[in-house]
Amino acid sequence: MPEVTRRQFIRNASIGAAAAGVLAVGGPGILSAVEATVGGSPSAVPPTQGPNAQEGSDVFARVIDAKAGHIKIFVGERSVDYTDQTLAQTLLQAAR
Amino acid sequence: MSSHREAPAISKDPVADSTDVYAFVSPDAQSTVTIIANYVPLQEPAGGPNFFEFGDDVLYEIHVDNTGSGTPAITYQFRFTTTITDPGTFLYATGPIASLTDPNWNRRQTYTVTKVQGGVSTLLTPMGGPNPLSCPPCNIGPRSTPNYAALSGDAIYRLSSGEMVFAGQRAEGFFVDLGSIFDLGDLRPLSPDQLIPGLAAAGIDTIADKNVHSITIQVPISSLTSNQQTPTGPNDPHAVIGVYTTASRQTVTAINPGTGTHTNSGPFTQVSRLGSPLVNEVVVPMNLKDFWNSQPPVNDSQFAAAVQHPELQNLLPALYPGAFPNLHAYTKPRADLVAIFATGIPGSVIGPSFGVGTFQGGNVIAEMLRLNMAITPTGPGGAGTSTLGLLGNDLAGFPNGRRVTDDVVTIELKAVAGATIPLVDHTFTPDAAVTAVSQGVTSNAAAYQSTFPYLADPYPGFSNPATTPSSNHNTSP
Repeated sequence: MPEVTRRQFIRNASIGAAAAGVLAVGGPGILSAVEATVGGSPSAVPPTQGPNAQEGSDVFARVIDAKAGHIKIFVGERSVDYTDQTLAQTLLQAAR
Repeated sequence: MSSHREAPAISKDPVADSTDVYAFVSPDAQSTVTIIANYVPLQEPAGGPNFFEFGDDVLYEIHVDNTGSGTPAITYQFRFTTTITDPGTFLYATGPIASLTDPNWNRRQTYTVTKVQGGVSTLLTPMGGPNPLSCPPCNIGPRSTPNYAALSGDAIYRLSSGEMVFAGQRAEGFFVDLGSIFDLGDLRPLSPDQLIPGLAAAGIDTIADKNVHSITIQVPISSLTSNQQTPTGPNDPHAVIGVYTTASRQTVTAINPGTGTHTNSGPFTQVSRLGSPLVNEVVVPMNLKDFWNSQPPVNDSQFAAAVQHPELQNLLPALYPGAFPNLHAYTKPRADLVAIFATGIPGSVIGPSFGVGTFQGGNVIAEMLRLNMAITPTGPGGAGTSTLGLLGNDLAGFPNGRRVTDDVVTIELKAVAGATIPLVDHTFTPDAAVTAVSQGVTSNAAAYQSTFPYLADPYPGFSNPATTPSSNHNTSP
């Protein structure tokens, strides 16, 4: 996972509001690895139904609003709203 | 068509395409209501080797609003699972299928029924039958499905909670002259008066001899009312329900490179919806059709303008010059169509004309098929029965629910042409041409049966009457 430089972060943030719809696919390990790499203070709305994602689950993430760090994560038959500006930028950066 | 391929997106997704909804007091079990939800349109019966089926990845739902709120109080959910007996063959049947457990049936579907009410989901179980429930196979022909009636009969289940249910292939019961209607509205009986005139002719049922997939459920009326009681009469405020169906897919679908498999993820999102026939088809404009399919009925005030000023009202005078002068001059919002499609016809309107009842559950604009469950049913061909329903003075037919044999195309053509405006505006006189408006097609008797599940056994691929001369229907040596 390439490191996000401050310059890249600022540039991405400036275009982030329009940069929605990027999907990232992978197991939960990828997301947690990204989170561990870039830090940040994520906040997630706990799922209201269904089991927690397990290792090997298909997990899809959509960057809804990069500037606000709004990410929607799809897993199983549910979605999780997740807020993490740094992760949102990292996902967009990784998808380039 | 009623709602077959009615919107750009769903026309590319037939497995999830809601085609018709019927809701009527069961003529042979009058303490119950039967709801039929059809999907997978325009099935050519011989369409193998991968014959038609429900989608394992689709959530099918039948919704019932019993308070007039515009939101469902009861939802029946149907989920299907496909299993393959022998994955090493391409055959649908490896020999005659004699029963629903026959190993010769290579690709079969089972399903579950879940009732959602008051926020509680309950998996419904059959009385004495298998769980999950079994669909019948498609009707292939006399060698693969030699006794189809027995197979489909075995696929009718009584549930412990009081319902009766069937899910599987059926003969298409809807009837329509597609070829004429979509050729610039050239109704064959009226063709000499069309803008580009032709010869008068009877209509042609374009979808006769096609099959469809039905989910049919028969529910005790007392289970559908908000007070859990059988209505005391047509004026009982609990007598009216609103019915609509949906199909939903999970939000994300990924195609896995190199394997050809799909992965679905996320919550189910509505992709198809149907209450009254032809609303999304001919009332909602092209740019809103996919959006309409994604919306719940309670949001339908956003589509009210399309109902109040339907495009078809302006097309009829243009396509039939001079035939509809009164309609052409009528510029008021169509309160009659709003009542028929979006609120139900109030008792203050229907009462003076017919003396009984209301088809209104509430004042919320929410497009659904509304049924007054306390109006005595009239059977097809029986006394007082009209395929024109309310327009034929038959209160038991569309738009009071919808029966398989109701000619909803002609009813709605007449309504849009002005036949129902006097119900709400006594200053309006319908044009004389309204009486002649008709698609010129009669109901397909072969597609209907008088008992549950009411739509007849599907046409067989081997001897589909539309494509196979009768001399080739050799079912025995």
